[in-house]
Order: sequence, then C-alpha cells, then structure tokens
Amino acid sequence: MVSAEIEGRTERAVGDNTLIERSRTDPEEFAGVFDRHSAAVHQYLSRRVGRSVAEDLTAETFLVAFRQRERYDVSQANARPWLYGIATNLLHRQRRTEIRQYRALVRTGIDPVDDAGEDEVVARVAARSDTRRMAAVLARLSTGERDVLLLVAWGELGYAEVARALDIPIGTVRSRLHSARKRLRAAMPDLDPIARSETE
Amino acid sequence: MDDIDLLRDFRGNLASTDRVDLSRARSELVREMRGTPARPARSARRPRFVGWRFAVPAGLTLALAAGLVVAVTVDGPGGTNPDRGGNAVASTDGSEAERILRNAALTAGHKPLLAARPDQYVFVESVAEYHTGETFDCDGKPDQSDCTATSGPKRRTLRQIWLAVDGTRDGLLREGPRSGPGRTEEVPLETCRPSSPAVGLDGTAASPACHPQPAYRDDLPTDADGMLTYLQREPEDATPAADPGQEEVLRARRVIQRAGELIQERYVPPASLAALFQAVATIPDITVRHDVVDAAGRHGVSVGAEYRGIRNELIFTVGAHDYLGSRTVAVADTATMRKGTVDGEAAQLRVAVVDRIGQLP
Repeated sequence: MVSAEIEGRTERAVGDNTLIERSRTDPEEFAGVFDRHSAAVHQYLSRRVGRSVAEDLTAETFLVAFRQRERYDVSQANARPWLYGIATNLLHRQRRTEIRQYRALVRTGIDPVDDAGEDEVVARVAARSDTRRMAAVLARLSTGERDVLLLVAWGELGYAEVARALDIPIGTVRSRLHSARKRLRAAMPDLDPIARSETE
Repeated sequence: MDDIDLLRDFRGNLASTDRVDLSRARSELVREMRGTPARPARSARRPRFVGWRFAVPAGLTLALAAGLVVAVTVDGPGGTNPDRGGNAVASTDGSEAERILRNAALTAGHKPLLAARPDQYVFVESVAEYHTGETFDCDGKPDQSDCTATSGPKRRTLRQIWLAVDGTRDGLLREGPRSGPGRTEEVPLETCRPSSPAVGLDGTAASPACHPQPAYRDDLPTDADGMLTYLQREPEDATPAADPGQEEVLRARRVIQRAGELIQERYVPPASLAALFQAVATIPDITVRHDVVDAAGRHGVSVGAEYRGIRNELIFTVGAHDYLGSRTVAVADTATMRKGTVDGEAAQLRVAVVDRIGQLP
C-alpha cells in the first residue's frame, strides 16, 4: 500500500518498506510508519481490550516495531500486517483482561469496553442476546482462532496478510478461521440461512 | 448478514478514529528514535525533513471534544405537544399498529417529566430474559451445516440499575433471580476513565478519548421526524437483506430494535418518548400481536417487525398502551430456536431519579 505523504517533501510517495529501510540508517524516517498506521493499530487494539489499554499497547507496538526494524521483510510494501502481528503478540499478555471483558458482557449485558459516542443509538447497557452470544463465543475460542478471526473481522486483513502477521502457514489461517466461524454461526440464530452455509 | 458482518458490528463504534489522541504514543516513539544514533548514510544525501512535523499528520485527527452531550435536535425547553410531527389524532385509515403507537405516544407524552440534577442517578428496575453461552457440537463434522447449537440456559433475572444522570460517575447493577433461590450479584459499572491526559503538540492538555453516557436522555429529538431520522441511521456498509424484497422489513426490524435499546435502562423524557412512538408509527411493515405476556407476567399487545422468523417488538398494555418493554422472539422455528423462544427481553417495572447508588425510590 502506497500512500502519499505530501508534507513539503520533494520526492514521490514511497512504500512502508522504503521508510523502514531508510530508518535503519536514519531512525527518524520511522515516524512515517507511525503516521500511516497508528490509528488503525489503535482501533484494532481498542476493540479487543478497550481504549485505555489500547493507548499503551499502541505506543508499545511502535516501539517494538522500531526496535525490530532490521528484521522487516523489505519486499513487503505494506507494513500493516507486520504491525498488527506485533500488536497481537502484545495482546497475549492481556489475554485474561480480554476474556474477562467478554465474560462480563455475557453475564451482565454490559460491555466494559464499549464506549459509544454520544450520537450512537446503541445503548452501552445492552441485554441483547446476539451481542452476548458473540462475546460468549469469543471468550471460548482458542487464542489462535480468536487472533485469526479478529484480524479478519476487525483488522480487515486477507488470509495471506494474516499469515504474515502471525507468522503461520496460510493453511493454518484457513482452518482456524473456518473453525472459529463455525462456532459463531452455530451461536447465531438470526443469520441468513444462505450465508450460514457458505464457506468463506 | 453473515457471521462476519455481525462481528464487524460488534464494538463497531470503537472503529472510529474520531477523537483519538495518539500524541503521547508518538512522543514516545520520537524519544526512542532520537535516542538511536543515526548511522552514516551510505548513499548520496537524501532530502531531509525541514524541522520536525508539527502539522497534524494526514489521517489522524486531534480533536478537543468539548462537553459531554451533543444535542441532536432540541425542540425548545419543556412541554412540547407530543402530537406534533405526525397526525394530531390517530389516523382513521391507519393500521392497527399505527393506532396503537399513536395512542402509546399520547400516553407517554402525558406522563409528568421527571426532573433530575446532573449529580443524581437514573434508577431502572426491570425483568430481563436472555440466553447466555452456547454449547455446540460441530467438532469432527465435515459439513458445517451439521453443527448443532444448544442455547445456553435461559436466565430470567430482576435487574436494578443505577446510572449517573450525566454519565460521569460509576453506576451499579444489581441482578438476581426473579424468584426462587440464587445469588444477587452487585456489579459496579465503571464509567469510562480518561487516559492520563496527553499534552497536545502545542503544549496544551488534549482532551481524553472518553465519552460519558448520560442515562438521562434529554438530548434526543422531541419531534417525530427528527426521531425517525435518528432511529434510521444506518452505517454506510450495513449489510442488505439477503432477499431484496425484504429490505424494508429488515429495516423496520432494526428500527424497532433500536427504539427498544434507546429506552432500555435509560430515562427518556415524555416528549422524546412520544416522538419515538410517533416515529415508529410511520414505518411500514409493522404488525401487531395480541395476547402477549411479558417477562414480568403482564399481559399486553406488541407492535413489531419480523424478518426470517425473528421478531423485534415493543410491548404495551392493552387499552392505554403504556410502554411495558421490548423483546426479541422467534415467531417461527429458526435454525437454532423453536417458535416461541424469547431470545432477549427487557420488561420495565420502575423508572425513577434518586440521589445515591443503591437507593430505592
């Protein structure tokens, strides 16, 4: 993914790989990677563990990424999967928090993470069964299934990107996603029967 | 909608980049980068930054959100005639659903306004019914259509909830069995906590990314048109109905669901509540079910919309059409629910304004 950075630079737009490569000799070039991807990383982390934890983890993700920049595969122009992978690894230390939050939602109908903006209709206190069911499924997935499912649904990565992010074979991505979605679909009474029988 | 779409909706409001301040994270990175010595360039000189960037980078918004509640539409202070915005009286050629809702609006609009100070609490007592946790048997089966789910135990609980009027203080949920043995749990409800205040790039304190949820909804529209717009907002990428002819029905069902959620465990003042029922009255594909019994055992009539065997409905008393609560119910056998199964319900018993958490009216 190449995006234009127009702030007074004289060169044409470059890929993340170029910025990272440069940052190996000129560290401050790495700031461009932050500017392009920090919002997305923060969003993904917020959805998994809430905004306040996400803020710290976002900072840490980029510090870790910076320190590991020598290992970046410079054939990849888009660094987002790599960054999501680092973020996901950091999330493993928050696993108990994440699961506790899903379980709290199941038990009380209240999502401790959700912070609806003032113009959102969705009530923060929601006894809706489908939300509870989803949280129940998420709490019970294996770490690997949850990571793959949420990188697809919330991180919006494709299979190859998930494979890169988690450093696992593409076949493993497929089978984890398949098994996670089976459980989701089984828990949702409300789904379109045609969609339910589709393979991803 | 498929499972991934539903999952995308879950916590979807956290996907917005508005009002997120990442300047502190950026400063930490800058410190780290500057603490790392640059190695001598191996190639010819490249253009360097002219000073460090102090402009807001493209794609990141530093917002200094002011205030807790953004007024959507306000019709002026107090005493709005609840009949405004629609037909003044129940329309004579309207359907029964429309008649019921317009009468419900009259009833709701005539209730006295509960006054509240920002430091008080909204108290709502309700009977809730829902399913939790599933057991499913699909392991080892090659064809996922063979996956069978058994709904977890149905819970019917008495919920008492205290929520800050202005949303800025912690609340409390007390939940226990409606009758019979069982524990009553007390669950503190934390209001969002601002993260440690970040310093903006110009040295001033930036606003925290935290939006308290007021339980007293005097920010809602008080006219039917405004309320209808509010209820009908769909995200741009909302999944359409599988069957194009059913698009309206699916939308109707979503509006009913949102209406129920808006009222649930909040205080909606009479003018807005009336506007809500007036707004729903204008939606096509709403139907009536008679002789319903709510989770609290009260008899009533429901108006709602059905799509693919699942009905979202609002329940009212017979006659005066006083609002009782909302419910999601299977009206036909679906893949995982037998006809008649209540997927979720909130039956409202009492709404009041009190001074302290735990205090009963």
